[in-house]
Amino acid sequence: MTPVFALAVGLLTGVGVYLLLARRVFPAILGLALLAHAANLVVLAAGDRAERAPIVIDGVERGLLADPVPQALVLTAIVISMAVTLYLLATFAARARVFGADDIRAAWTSDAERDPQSVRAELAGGGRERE
Amino acid sequence: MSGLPVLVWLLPVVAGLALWLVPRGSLWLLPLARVAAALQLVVTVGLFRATAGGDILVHALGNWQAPFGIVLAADRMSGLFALLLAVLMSITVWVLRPGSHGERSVRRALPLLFLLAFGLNGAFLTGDLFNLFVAFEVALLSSYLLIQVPGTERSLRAAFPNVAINLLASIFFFVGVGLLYGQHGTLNLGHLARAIEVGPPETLTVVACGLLALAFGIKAGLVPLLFWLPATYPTLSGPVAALFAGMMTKLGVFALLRTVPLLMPATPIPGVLVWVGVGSALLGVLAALSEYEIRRLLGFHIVSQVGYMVLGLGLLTSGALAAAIFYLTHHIVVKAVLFFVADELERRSGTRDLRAMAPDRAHAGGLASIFLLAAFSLAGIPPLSGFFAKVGLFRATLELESWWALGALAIASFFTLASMLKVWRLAFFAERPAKAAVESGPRPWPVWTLVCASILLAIAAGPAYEFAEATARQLLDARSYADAVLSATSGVALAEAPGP
Repeated sequence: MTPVFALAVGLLTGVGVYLLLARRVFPAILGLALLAHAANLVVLAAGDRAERAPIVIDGVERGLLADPVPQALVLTAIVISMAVTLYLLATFAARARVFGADDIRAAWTSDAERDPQSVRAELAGGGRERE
Repeated sequence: MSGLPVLVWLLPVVAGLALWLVPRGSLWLLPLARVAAALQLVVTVGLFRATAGGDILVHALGNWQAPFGIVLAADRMSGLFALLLAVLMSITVWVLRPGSHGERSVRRALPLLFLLAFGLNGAFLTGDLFNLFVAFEVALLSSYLLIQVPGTERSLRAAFPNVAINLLASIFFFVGVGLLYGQHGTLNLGHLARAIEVGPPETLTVVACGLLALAFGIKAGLVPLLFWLPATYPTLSGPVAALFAGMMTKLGVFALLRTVPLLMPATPIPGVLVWVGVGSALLGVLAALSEYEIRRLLGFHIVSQVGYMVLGLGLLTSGALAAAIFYLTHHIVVKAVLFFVADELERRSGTRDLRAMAPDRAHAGGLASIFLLAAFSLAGIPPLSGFFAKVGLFRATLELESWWALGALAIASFFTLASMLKVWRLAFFAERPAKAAVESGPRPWPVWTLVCASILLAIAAGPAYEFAEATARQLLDARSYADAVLSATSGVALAEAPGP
């Protein structure tokens, strides 16, 4: 199994990094999701050792059982990465509505390049109401 | 076996969820939040007192014996961090009010603040590596949402780089945890420390520890992966930014303090951390010198000072570690004060740019004196707490005769003072026509309590330093940590459990 895992991890990481280096936000979100999947596969492959069976009673053949801990870890990680990906997609949707363009560099715009009036309003009133 | 860590851990989540249930527009929201914060403070003081003597309070959740179940383990450092968090939480909750920060953002921020405290306390109290990961994620998810609370264009812009880099760090953290489990078959920190201690570290263990250190370094805002921090913190609403400046980056530092002496003393990682610390100390302060947005400037200062702490941690002697812990305590208090002041200044003058600030001088006296005390403390001027923090670090580097580290620290300190003087001159003494007066917000007395805490830390520097030294000794004593965590049995031991 391990060579298959290694190939899959390499492929996912490669594609993930490629997408993450894009200048647009949406591909970068997909890239992060793929990297999270690669991490899950690494942990499954690293933790899968036959000699380390779960807590079992005598008389059960150990070779038949997998260690459940890595699976529990991966399950938790899947849930967390799903939540974060959803959050990223939601902010992506909000960004697309506000800025239109899907450009990652919008993050680094400083106040000096913005309209002083809108900065003032932002500081005074807790920001635009956005529903 | 003690229930106190569980209480400290779970109180914020109960409070956070209860605050979410408070109906819109209810007058109960603020009083409830303040009572919850005060309650948390009381419980945490209890925990601090219980751990200050050197005992490690261990609680096996669900009474599952240590290497099989998850344990909470509170030592001196856990108590210290939980206490600092509870103090900052109380002040943040006290300062955050609808009058000055907007009804809607207060209603959204309060429950999230408590959930953030739940995550942070979980990280401080856990004795299990994977549980540390989960606590990190709880804190991070709350922090992502808190960043969106102001609902401004700027917070929307900052969301992606912040979440992306933190998610990447979480992936490294997770892979590190998985590899360590694959190597050693345990996730319990004490058990892992014992397993790693045997013989020279294997390559895969070093790689896994490196991934952990990289993840914590990103979250602490260390060189070279620091630029998300000054981009994110200025977008937060004022008091929340103060809490973030105090506690969020220190989560990374905490995780390093916890794992480096336990798991990595034999690896090359502490040596790398010294260089990373020097780099952060210098780069952070130089970036701050060239910055004109007040909270971005302070954000770069965080990077610089986290560098000081990590340098002390990397040296890994009890003196250097004690200095790092004292520095950290001082830094959390002072940095929060500076962010409170920066928030007031920004709101009063309606701009983030120091070059355009013109606060109403008649009402800026209190603010100016708070700022001066905090800035001098940060720069390390003698009667204030920063002086003792820096003397400790300088002494530690002198003892190890690492002259270049000493030189770098001295240069960074000089530039810290220079950049603080820049803020002082531009924000309070520039000749500019005063803008239309913005209402001057609440009286800053909660911030004065923090200033007093900083002064108290200087007056009581002797006992405080002794405490830091005791904490450092406890951190370096991996063996007794392992013993305490692994001997957490109160119920039926597993070996004696009845058969099926």
